[in-house]
Amino acid sequence: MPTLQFKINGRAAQAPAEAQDLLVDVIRGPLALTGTHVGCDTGQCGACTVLVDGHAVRSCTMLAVQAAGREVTTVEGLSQGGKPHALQLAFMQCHGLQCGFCTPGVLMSAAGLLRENPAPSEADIVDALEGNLCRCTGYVNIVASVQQAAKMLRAEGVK
Amino acid sequence: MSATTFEAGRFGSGQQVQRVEDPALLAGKGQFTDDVSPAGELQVVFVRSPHAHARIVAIHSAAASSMPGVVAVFTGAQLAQAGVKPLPVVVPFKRAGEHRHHAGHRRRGRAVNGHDACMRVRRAHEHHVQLAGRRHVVGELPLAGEQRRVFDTLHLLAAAEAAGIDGRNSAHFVPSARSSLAASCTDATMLT
Repeated sequence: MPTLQFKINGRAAQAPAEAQDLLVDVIRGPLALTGTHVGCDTGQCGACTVLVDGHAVRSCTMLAVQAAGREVTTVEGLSQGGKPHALQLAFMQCHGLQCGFCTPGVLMSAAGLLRENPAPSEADIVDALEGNLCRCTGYVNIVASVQQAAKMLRAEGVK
Repeated sequence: MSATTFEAGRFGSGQQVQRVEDPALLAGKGQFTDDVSPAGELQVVFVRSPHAHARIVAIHSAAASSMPGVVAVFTGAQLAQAGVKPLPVVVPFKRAGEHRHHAGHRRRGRAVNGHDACMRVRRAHEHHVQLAGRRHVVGELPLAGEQRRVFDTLHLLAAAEAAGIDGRNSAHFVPSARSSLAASCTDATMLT
């Protein structure tokens, strides 16, 4: 089986991957990073969202080989140096999650947004999270969480 | 002591409560059922008839059984022979074999039409109940800290065929095939 080489959460990784394997299956399978979830398996729910070279993508609709040589960030790589990411703190503070199944995907979509737009409007956030379905929390607190995180990041001066 | 102070000291009402589960869920360390993979875990796929009320004439499982990584293929007949009972239900369903008498009855009454109908079902079914296909990974998990084997699982070749796709390689991964798979064996696709 061919070996896929890429960077995941800041470190080099290699995993066996056939041409038809999906990125999410490599992340959850050989790499055993189960924070990235498979909700619908059809690209509709967004639970599998990860960052590829900083852009939020659905890892269930991307072939693993397409990640070759790229940098993938999953929810496990969101916090840096043992310090929670502003998004993680804000979701805790604003009650942005209940069961937590969709949360990793929501966090990664939001991380992709904040990377490109540090001061998103409510409409920007709603637009960025359009592809993330949540079936228990409702979206009001999720949007509030992202706004809060954006505020925290701007206060920290982190881009 | 003012009423305000008293209110502020109460537990719960009007105050944020720190949830104990949040840090793990937000770090991707939640343990949902699909996240648990005990060593030696096998994967199972249920292949169901894509035709309602069709009579199963034959199930060809030899090709599937001989594929690398496939541990076992069990058909309903084998389970019945081993004494496995159907799930208890309030309203009993007819099992596959119970249609036989009915079909024979029709054939006697309306020989040509009954026979044709029977043959159509037979043809349709023989076309569809083919177990084949495979699903990837057999190997070690380099970052898991333990060696595990993920065994190949089966896919329904027929559903992929219906979608015009070679199911042995790509049925699982092509959206158009997914909907077809989902229509005919929802449980199977959800399990993988």
